[in-house]
Amino acid sequence: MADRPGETAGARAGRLYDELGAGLYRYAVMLLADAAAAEDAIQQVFAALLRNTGGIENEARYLRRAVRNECYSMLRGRGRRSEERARPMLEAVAPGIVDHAERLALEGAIRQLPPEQREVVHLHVVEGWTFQEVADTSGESINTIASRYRYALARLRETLAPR
Amino acid sequence: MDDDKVRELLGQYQPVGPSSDLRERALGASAHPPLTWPWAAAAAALLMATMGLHAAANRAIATVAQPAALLSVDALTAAMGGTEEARRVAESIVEEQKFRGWLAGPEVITWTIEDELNRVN
Repeated sequence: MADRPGETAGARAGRLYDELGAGLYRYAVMLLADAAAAEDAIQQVFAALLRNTGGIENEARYLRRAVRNECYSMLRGRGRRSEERARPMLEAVAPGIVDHAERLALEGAIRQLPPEQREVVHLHVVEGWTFQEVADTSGESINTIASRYRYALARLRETLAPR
Repeated sequence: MDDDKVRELLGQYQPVGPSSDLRERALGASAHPPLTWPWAAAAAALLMATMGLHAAANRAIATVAQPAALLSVDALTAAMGGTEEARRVAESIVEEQKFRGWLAGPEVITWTIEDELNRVN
């Protein structure tokens, strides 16, 4: 995915939103654990994209990094304040199979994870990335990514265990 | 619950998708390209104001300097004693005054007859 000759910044942004917007938004939701804040992040990234009239070599990679940077910047800004919980963060992959109690329990457990662990879980489980691909995007070693994934699973297992 | 069960549960859910109006909000700026003309208009207005102020200042200086610019050779000669030497000096002063006014504009002509008399004497 690369620049197309003669394409305006607005047309490019529209095309990229249609191709990548939903996936980037889901990624932002998982990083921020906040559906409303994820909308803000996506708006910021696409506003910057619209201002950028230069060429972009790898658009998907560029946008992924831009969303990641924006989300971590927002997380640093809000510190330890609790995330917004009025809007659901998860939805069932298969429509019709909705167990609200299960969804709420999983949401609660995921919200307790650090953003870095939520990111690895999302990219590896939801998007199907390898640990190496996650490491390349985050700039961490593959061992760090694998450890984050193991810690995340252990924490989820512990939080979701029947009491 | 073991890791397989956790993974299975994670696989059944995904983060919610974007609302239908997010596209419009995210791309809203494309419908309104950056407005550069207000800055150009402001710059033009500032330039016009500066030029107007400059012209007004020049007129004011010219008005203030007017008496010196209108000095006559006779008046200067009389003020310097009425001799032939005084007349030659007065003529040179008036000529110089005209030349300086032509060379640099009216803002240069700010000296007075007293300045010139002091300089000559």
